[in-house]
Amino acid sequence: MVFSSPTFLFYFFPLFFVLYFVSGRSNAVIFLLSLLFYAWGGLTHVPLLLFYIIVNYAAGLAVGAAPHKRWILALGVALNLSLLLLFKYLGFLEDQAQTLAAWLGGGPLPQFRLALPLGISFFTFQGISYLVDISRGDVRPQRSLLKFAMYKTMFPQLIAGPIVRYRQIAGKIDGRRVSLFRLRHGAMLFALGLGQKCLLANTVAFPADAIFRLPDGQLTAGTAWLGTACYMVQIFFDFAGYSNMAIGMGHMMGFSFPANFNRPYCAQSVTEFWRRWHMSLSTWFRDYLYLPLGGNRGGVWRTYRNLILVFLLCGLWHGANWTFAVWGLYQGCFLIIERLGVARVLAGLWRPLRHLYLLLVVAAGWVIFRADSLSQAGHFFAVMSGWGEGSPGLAPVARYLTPSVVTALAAAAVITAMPQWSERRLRADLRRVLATIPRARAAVDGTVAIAFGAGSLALVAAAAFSLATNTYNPFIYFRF
Amino acid sequence: MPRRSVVRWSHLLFVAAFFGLLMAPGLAGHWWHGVQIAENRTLAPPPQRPRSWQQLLAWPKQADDYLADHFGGRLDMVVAFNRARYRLFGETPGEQAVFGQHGRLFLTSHDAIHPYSLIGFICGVDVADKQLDAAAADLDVFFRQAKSWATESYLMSVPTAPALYGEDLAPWLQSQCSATTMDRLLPRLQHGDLANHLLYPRAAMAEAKSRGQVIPLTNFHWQGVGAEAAAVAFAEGRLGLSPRMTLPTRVEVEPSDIGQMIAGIPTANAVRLPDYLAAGVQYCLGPACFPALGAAANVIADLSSLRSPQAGDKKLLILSDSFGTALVGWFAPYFGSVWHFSVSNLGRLSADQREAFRRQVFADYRPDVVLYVLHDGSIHYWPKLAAQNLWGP
Repeated sequence: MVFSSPTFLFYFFPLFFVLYFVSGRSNAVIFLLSLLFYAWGGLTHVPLLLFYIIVNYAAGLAVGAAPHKRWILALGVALNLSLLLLFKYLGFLEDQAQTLAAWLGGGPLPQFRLALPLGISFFTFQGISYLVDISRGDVRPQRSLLKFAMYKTMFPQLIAGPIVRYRQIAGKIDGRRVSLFRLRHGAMLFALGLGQKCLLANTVAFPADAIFRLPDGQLTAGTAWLGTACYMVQIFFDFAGYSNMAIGMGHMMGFSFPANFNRPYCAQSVTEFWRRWHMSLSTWFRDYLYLPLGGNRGGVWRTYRNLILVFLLCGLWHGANWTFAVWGLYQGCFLIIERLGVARVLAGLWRPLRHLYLLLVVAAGWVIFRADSLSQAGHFFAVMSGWGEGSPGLAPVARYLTPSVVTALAAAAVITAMPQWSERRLRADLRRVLATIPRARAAVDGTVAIAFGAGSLALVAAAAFSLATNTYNPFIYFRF
Repeated sequence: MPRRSVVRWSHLLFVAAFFGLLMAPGLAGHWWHGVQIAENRTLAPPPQRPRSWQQLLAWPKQADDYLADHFGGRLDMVVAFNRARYRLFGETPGEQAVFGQHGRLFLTSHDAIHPYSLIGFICGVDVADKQLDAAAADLDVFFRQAKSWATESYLMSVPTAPALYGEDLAPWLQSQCSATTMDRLLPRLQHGDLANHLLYPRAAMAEAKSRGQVIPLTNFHWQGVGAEAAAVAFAEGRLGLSPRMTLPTRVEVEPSDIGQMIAGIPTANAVRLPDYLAAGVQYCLGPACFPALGAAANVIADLSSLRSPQAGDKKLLILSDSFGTALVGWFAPYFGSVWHFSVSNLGRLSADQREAFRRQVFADYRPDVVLYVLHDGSIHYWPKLAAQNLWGP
């Protein structure tokens, strides 16, 4: 079940919150409805999720009871990783083995393909961070299986993050209050995320998908650049929108999930980009892989090795395909290049040039990430550079650059470039501006609250209407 | 009211409205049906109680489909969103029906999976010579078969909007549509008997543009002036007939024939139609016109007839794709009787029904002229399909 579906939005979401508040914010309600949420998308993998819960719950207790026995932690982490390997990477590894066997002249090898369980990458990482945090003494193991199961399954973050570490919500598991202000704040964040997903990401998704599907012979430099720009906007607003919805629901339930994005396209370098993009993942890799590997403490070469390894795994975490591996390596290489001196050169450049550098590097990265294969990515790069352009036929830039796409791209650029803007800040700014007019100053709070509320409701309505349009599927006139 | 109170009330109101907005479609699914739009599809049925593991696995998908089709106010939301998008951006939902310039709506494809495939074919984009040779050969075979059933058989290919209103296409499409597929195909058909029995009335229809829309602005199919120009070109120009009467006309506002694809966007057209009552012509549309065909008439669905007592006793049979219906009335000044059938559904008739159909329209009706009508976007597949549906076993 995805958040931007009628089933979730019009049925599951209201049902959950009614039951949640009627039950007095019960953990059992969160657990049971989260299981339903998960089962809706993959009933066959519910036992696996339950297995993960039991294994990590037991391992957590064991690690907590004997933190000095490192092998217990190692066993728990290995179990988490081996399941991820089995379900997510076995097929990929088999493909490579088949290719190798064919190259060596051997026959086809037997295959054992498993369907990919929803959210396995997220709940595997959650499990590992839980066990490591206990072993480090950062958090105490949860003794209640129900409460632990609630944490592991909490539907807002179950299948697409943000990766919520146990210690980030541990204090709220036993009891939480949801004030009216917080409920409203969460709902507004949810509305914002829904709008980002349905109105911005979905609008540019159409040209992005269509252009990346074009046959090689029809791709021109213009369409390739447009497709890349659209995908850049799509992936950010899709993911940031989803994260905002998750964080918003977290607030509505009384939890504070970590922020996942901080205007990443405003970064001035790749290093800075990774401090702003998918922060719950990048900090996970930092805390549980990069730093344990030695971070930047073991000399230059070790730092580079660690960066390459971390980003290779970060790429593969996104999917079992060479494109993701190369994308990860590409990001890692740029981090190293910046450490080699490019960062110093950049620091001396005019700010817009630094920004342009970041956007170009990130855009090229997204081409590798989005392409179905490395050869498609290669062709895309060639065409973007003006080599091997095809004949557009019925797929020129003008077909995809419709007024709504132009508006969405422009809106995305403005939103991305805008400084962090919040209701509180606007209130403060207005109060300052209206300091000399006491009556107007007094009306600021109410006016701003009403304006933000109305804007959020308009976003929800527009997003719901756009969703309805996706369900409208008329067959053409029967006479044709 | 104190400032804090205003803020608190606004927060309360917001939360109530937020949940109200999201709960209303789910709660009101049974009674908030909204506007009625024919989607021409069967909406997803309620999911059945699962009786096996496989059915249980399939249940969420069935439930999703059902809920997506049945939440309250769905069609109202569709209409509101489409209208807002059209007003803001001048766009339609999807690429299957898109506005070009000057308010003209183009159908770009017959299916949603291959947008622009229809316009692309009509405009000759990526249409290889080999494909044209094959289409010409198919037309030739079809025509010879048609002649074996009735000597006076003619083929009319109807130019559609991209061929007639190229100036209304989006600028990026105009450059692609300078030489149409028909422009390239016609020279391949200028031989033997077929050349004298093939009509592509683009010139006549282009000339008629000064009298009105030969294809209504938001239609895929022709109506009124365009069909009239083609009928006159065929009856007078090709058959040498003279009109036996002046056909009175009236203007009617009709919905667009592809309007349901862009629900909520205004698409009605004012079209000039024959005034059958004033002309003393008996026009009949639908299965009831042919009781002798029995159940087959319902299967054929798109069929009509006309009796024009002042026009003498000549009989015309029109066998067509979906472009035949609009043509029938304009033959009232030239033929005493016109029968029209779309051949699209003939393939669904049983062998006996098809045999009876052929007997009735060819042997019993004994038309003086048989006119096969197809549009320029179907020229590459219709002859084979029609031959199979008409004369297949």
